[in-house]
Amino acid sequence: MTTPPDHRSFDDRFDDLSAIAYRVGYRLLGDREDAREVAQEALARAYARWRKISGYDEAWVARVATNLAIGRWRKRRPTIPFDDHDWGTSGRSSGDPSNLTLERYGLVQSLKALPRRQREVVVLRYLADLPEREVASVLGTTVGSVKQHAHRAMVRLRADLAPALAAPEAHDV
Amino acid sequence: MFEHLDDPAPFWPDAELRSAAVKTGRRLRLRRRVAAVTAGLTLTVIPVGVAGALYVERRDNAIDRVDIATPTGEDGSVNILLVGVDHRPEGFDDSDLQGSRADTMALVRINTDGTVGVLGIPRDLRDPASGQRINGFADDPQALVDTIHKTLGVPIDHFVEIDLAGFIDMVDAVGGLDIAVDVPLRDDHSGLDLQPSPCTTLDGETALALVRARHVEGDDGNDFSRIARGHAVLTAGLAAVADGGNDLLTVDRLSRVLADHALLDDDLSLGRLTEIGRMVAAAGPAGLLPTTLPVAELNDPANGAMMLVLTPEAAPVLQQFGAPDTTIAPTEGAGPPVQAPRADSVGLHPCAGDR
Repeated sequence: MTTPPDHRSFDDRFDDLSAIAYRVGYRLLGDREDAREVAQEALARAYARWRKISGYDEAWVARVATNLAIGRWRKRRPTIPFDDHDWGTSGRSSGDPSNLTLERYGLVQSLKALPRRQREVVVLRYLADLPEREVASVLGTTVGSVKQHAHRAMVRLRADLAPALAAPEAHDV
Repeated sequence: MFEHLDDPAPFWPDAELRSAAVKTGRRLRLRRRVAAVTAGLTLTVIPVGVAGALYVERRDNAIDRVDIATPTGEDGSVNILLVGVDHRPEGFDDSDLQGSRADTMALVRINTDGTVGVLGIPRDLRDPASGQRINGFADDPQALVDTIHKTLGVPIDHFVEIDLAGFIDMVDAVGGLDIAVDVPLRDDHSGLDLQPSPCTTLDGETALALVRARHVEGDDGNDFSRIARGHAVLTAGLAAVADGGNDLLTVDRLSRVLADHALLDDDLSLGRLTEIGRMVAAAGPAGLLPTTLPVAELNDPANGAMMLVLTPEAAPVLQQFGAPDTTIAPTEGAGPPVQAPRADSVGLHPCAGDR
């Protein structure tokens, strides 16, 4: 297949794409150095398969950056929290009582638990801030369906994040 | 939505970031090209027509991908790691925040002679490096692939993860699974209630109940009967693919299910998946070789948990799945070998005179 004329070069797209990867990385990790490394790795992978992905580069970079950031969360915690009933308190005892840290951790856990399609919509629409129409086109679906998936996902995310956003000390129900 | 989580300082991609990304990118591209040439030499491409190809590409882009490095084999066989994950179900309890867990894992191998090997991987298998259960790595596909590769020594060319709802839809997409049931199978927990039949067709929900059932009357309380039942269902599933893998409508239905419920490795295109389906179809039900992994129980003193370790008898079995010719030393403190029951010993087998 021939490359459509509107496919731009990796060089031209670098600034926009690295900004998306950094945004996703920072929103999930809350650390500049980590977010920068996520952006660098995501862009390196994009470079390696540029011809294949340039038609939907923003969505691809957002996905990869999300996966990388989630992977980094995993490395931050030496054990995998299967049972997260006490994550509010363990977050506090680790010396960082920040609500944002709790929210990020809760967000990552929730993302992992969302059904694939809902997770995809959240990543593209709300983490990468891509427009609904672009999300629909990348996922091969309609704007209505994107809205529906986004709505369902947000209901679940809000329910998940509520304990993190409320006073964490009241969490041990 | 998540603007409050943004970096307060504006981000500006500097030249250093760009050059580092391009440098790593060049190396990754070279690695991919070498892998592509190797794969291209061993495979024949199946033409599906220009219109078909365009349609397939559109479907293809809708499927979730994970970018993982796979330790590929070199003898022309193809190993596919199948992982069934247990996402949190609808109506979950608010405080019960947990990620995905690998419920069922199996390695499917397309041999160069056209036969298809199926190896069930017990989720309680112990990763010797970390001392953890291998299904503890389920929320990170790369870590899961790496851990299974290191623990079993087998190459893994492709990764397919599907959630429970996807499993149901997939079974229904191939028109149900045909299986012979010798004894009544009942499990009040999972709602399973199967009566003996020389050949019954399981719909998606029933097949899932059968795979997940842990409390079937007559079970001896361990995970092996469940693995054996999972094996029987997977074999029936592959037989269904063997039957319908050439049917474009089935392929189309399956691709829709994959788009909603599956996660595939980056190099597993829908075309490649169809191609693998055709290889399974060519093997036919008679060419499917279900295999069980010889393991022993180990009571891990570190965390007091019961796990499974490979026994020396596992070495020749793993070799059939592409592992190097090595011996496996018995694990100190491990119990006697537990042979997982074969599917027919739990009362399930393929329908007689099938097709």
